[in-house]
Amino acid sequence: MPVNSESEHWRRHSEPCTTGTRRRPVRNPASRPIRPPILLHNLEMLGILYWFYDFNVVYLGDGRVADGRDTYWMNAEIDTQTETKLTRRREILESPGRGAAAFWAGVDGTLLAALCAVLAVGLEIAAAAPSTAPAAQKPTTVTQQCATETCHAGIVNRKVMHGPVAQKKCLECHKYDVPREHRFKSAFPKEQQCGTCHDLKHKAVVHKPVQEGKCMACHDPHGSAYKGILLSDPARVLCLSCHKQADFSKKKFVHAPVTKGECSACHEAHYSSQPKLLRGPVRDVCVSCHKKVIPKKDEAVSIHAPIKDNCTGCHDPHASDVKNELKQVAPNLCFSCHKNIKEALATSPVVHRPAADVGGCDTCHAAHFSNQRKLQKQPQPQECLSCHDRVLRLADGKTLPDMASLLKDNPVHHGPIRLGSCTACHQPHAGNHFRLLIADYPAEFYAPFRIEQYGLCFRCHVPELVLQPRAGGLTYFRDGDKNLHWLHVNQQKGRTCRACHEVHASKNPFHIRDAVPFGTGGWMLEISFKETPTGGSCSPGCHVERKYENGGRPKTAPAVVLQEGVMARVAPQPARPAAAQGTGEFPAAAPPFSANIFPCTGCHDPNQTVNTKRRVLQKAHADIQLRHDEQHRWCLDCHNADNRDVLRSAAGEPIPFGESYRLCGQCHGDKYRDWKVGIHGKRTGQWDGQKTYLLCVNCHNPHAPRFKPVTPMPPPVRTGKAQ
Amino acid sequence: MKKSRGMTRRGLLKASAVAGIAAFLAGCSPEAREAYLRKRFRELTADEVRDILAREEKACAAQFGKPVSVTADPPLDGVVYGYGLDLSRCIGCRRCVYACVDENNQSRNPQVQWIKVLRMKKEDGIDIMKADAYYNPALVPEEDYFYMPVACQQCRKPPCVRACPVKATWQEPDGIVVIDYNWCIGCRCCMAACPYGARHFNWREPHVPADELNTRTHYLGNRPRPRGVVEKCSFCIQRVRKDKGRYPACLEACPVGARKFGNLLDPAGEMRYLLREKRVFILKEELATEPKFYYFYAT
Repeated sequence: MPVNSESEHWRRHSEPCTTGTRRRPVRNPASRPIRPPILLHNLEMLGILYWFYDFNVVYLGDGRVADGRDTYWMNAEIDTQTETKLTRRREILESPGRGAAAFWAGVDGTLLAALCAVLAVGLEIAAAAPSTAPAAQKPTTVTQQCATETCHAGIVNRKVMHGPVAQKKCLECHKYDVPREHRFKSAFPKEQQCGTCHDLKHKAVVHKPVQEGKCMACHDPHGSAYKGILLSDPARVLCLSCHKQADFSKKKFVHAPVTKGECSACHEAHYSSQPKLLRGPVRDVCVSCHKKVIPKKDEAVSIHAPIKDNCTGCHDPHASDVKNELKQVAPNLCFSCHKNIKEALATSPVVHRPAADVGGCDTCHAAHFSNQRKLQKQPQPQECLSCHDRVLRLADGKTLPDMASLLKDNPVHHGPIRLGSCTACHQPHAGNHFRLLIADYPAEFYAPFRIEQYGLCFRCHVPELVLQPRAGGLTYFRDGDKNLHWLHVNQQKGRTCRACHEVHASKNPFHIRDAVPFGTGGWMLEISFKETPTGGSCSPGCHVERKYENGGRPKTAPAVVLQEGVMARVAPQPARPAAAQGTGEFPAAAPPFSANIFPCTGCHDPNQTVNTKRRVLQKAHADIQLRHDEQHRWCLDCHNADNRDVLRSAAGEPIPFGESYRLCGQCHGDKYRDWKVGIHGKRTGQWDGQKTYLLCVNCHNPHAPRFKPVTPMPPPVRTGKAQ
Repeated sequence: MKKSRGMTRRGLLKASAVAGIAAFLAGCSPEAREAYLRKRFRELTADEVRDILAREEKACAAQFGKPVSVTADPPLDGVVYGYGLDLSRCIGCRRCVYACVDENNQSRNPQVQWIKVLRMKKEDGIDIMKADAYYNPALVPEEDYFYMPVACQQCRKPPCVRACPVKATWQEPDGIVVIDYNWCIGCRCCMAACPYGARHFNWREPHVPADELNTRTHYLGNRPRPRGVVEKCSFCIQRVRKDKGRYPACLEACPVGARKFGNLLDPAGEMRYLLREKRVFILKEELATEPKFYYFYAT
């Protein structure tokens, strides 16, 4: 616009808005119009209409400024064409702005459509929060005060404001293009816009609006009533405006953050290194609230593998029709991975009903972690007895007895039950054998002898029991050395184990039954077993009393001979290092137990009488060679006979295995004194910070503590001449 | 005629010397020029140290094909490191020797070992003349013998520091005697001066396999050395100079717990305890080097 630079009258008319009180704010088109500066009359005849980036402003050919929303352009001098354009302009500004860019571009073709699109939404929002300040004259020089009572007042009094807006640094973003006409342009290069200050693209996954630079799709550039200068709250409304499929309220169980509309609880808004714009790896995001799902260190014996990194493998993170927001109901959910159990349940003749029921897996198994093996909720047999504590009726009419009462009323338990294991003999899910047994066992009381049909029993018991006619140490059921087991079992009318023994528990020694069914009439043949000091006797029904002499059974001897490694297989007790460590005053490493050896009470029945006679062990622990003052000491001087899970001091005080240094220190006082300071033995860790002590037994075998010689590493290479 | 003498011999020699140095410097790469013209390590500013470390890291990464970190952690306040070795426990297994080789990037071929384990007869006592460093029995410890590992004693009055003509080795405030490998000229005067034979020279290009390289290095400690410089035990300066620092590698490797390490200024630490309570001696006490490496008997 040509300016007559010799005359200075344009200065006279360029007061800033703050002094605009001299000019009466004009709103009503019928009131006094603004008089244009005389200078610019030149262009009046041209009637040129200018459209600029800041389309808030329309330049009339005569130098006046007009705003689509303001009405002071109603001036008799405007021609009809201009008036039409302005009217249309106002209509557009007051309507949703999204299509405006194309329209404006189409109207006169001089606008940059892209920039309009960005600013359009902003203006639309700004239009929704109308400024209450009366219209005022636009300043014609560079001003620092953009937001005053008369102009743009609404911009700086929003609840949450963009930093530059709050600091009233409008010029950071709106750069003066032509100050005289109060015309602005963006201070930033076209490609960058908000990215000039806000760096938003430096991770792997970027939200699409961020990628495309459409910040105004969610944010108001000046301010809004919502945190993060978002356009609306809760975020759900905003997110749902694009993510239309995410309407979760239709499902029954909805994740709490979703209900509250807090998408940002889990999702980043702009960028993330994780897929789906999560705040972190799936597990970390879930665990940040659901801390109880992850066990503390050493708390869990078994951990369900998916909780390591795959929460969404089972749970729908937003909503689901299944309780706990599971994707499917158990057991179908479980079968998606545990296909072998699904197959077993489908194809096996005998099925454990809870495993097949809906929600059945949940009956026995914990979902995330457990302090029992295999994610069991409780230890066996309590787990099983929680249902089998009443008579249960099967589908074919047979009944299962009340096992809890059976075990309570009959104190002599079968070994596996004593060791706390039902699964030593029974399948928990499905099986091919009757009563869900894991191996062959004859269902009848009498059966011709075949060794294969006793597969179940001889998983633990030695088969020589029924294969050898002569028994030495195999069994106490012998007359002299005549093996009476062989006599009864190994014949055509062989008595199966059940003929004489209660499988689970009874009141008699060796859990011998009280009576056995005989014949088909249902008559019960009483056995009347009695154990005598030199053997035993039965009076089974019709026959006279039959006695046998075996020289007597010492009270402390184990009742049966078992196969190697049975204990570890039947009751592989979880190692509980927490219990073993104790709460000693020294932060010591864990005791180096052999596998499956601890807790000792897994084998050592607390009710069993202890043989305190000093001897060389032969039955168990025969591999231990005691070379530690064996002239004067033996096992029970250090090991606690009353409670095998702890040691004992000389005074009989229990010492946990994790504090075994106290036991060693009783005799080796000088070493203990030096160990406490770190002179004897080794401490690892930080020389000026936290250290971990190694227990005495981490280096010294407590049974043979003297170090054995080791192979040295190679000597240095000699170079050149010999020494 | 006599007036226009032109260049004198002296002038020519001066000019050619200057020209020669200028040509040399101009011909060097910028790194080499910086290396020649830089100041001593102790006079560098923090920025210059950073530049040098970056250069070293780049050179090591190029040489070994994996990222190597070279730090220059300063000494900690109030700390003077001391070492204890329990002669009643050492079994001569040499695991400390090889742990040191791994941790400190010592050359495998030609072999450089900072720790030397001397075997002596019990009835002769400590007699270096009769000591054997090349023993190789099937099993250790052997009857009648005891074992004494020897490395840099980190003397308080180090003869090596006095002997160095270029001051490439000096004692840091925390007691460690360090070497700036980029300053060392390889004259080996320090090796002659050391009474314990604790310093080792890289006669040939040191060779460390890239997959065994310890990538956490210290500029004055275990960074890969060039040929022709002297190196020695630095108390695992890269480990101990951190807040909550680790123990030296030899201590962690010892299977019998014969090695002790700590702050001599800490009255509650294990070093002061053993100095107070145990029978302690130092090697070659008559030379008044006042080492910080204490041999003791725990029993």
